[in-house]
Amino acid sequence: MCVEVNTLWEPQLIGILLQRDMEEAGGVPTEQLITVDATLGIKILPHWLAQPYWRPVTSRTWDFSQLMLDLFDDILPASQSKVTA
Amino acid sequence: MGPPDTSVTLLCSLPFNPPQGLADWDKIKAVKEAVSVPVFANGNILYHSDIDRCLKATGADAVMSAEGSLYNPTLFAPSPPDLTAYDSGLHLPHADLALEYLRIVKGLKTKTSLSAIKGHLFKLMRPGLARELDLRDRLGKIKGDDPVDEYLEVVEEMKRRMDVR
Repeated sequence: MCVEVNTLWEPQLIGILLQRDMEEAGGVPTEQLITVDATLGIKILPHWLAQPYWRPVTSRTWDFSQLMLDLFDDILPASQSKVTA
Repeated sequence: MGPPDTSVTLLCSLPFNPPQGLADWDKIKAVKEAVSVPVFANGNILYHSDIDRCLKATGADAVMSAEGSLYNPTLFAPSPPDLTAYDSGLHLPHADLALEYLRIVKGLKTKTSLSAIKGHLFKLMRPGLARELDLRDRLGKIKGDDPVDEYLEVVEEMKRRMDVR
């Protein structure tokens, strides 16, 4: 199902999107599409939704190469990225 | 009494740039208790429901979000009362938010830098790009003086894929 979004703030539209999420998850209630980050216990929403991102703590000491990776991960080609599905 | 002429905004994260892990609200609380000027708490506002939690935990006068709102621009918008399945805040499809962002960019009289557009799109669509690696590569390789239409193509393709997931 393709939903044409013209007015992002319309409650009716958001209801349609949530209903679609549930239907496409095979009837699983929307709440059950939420997983939890194992390290920090923060919830992770389905991958098609805007949601927060946090950088895991990698070290208590300064690590320049790690910092550079964290800073530029967004623009690295996928083959060099740390991000996985 | 007029508005205060001084305030302080605190981000209590580990000493990394960009910050790692989660900010320490206890440090903000300690500062709030020690000063008489208004205090803005900054850090760990990941979800809309964190706003109230942060205000209660720190005693701060207000909260702010810097990076969090780049990943979810509707961070401060409450979800309609009956639609709080994910949180008390709005979580819209990121591809639609990205399309709206690009429409704003196209409508501006001043030019937006390539790196700014690219950075915003990578953050907005991060959950999708972590799976759609070919789109991630396409987005990363876009160059040129007027790349907005190329960005639009990638975002529209992301929307198609998210809509038929």
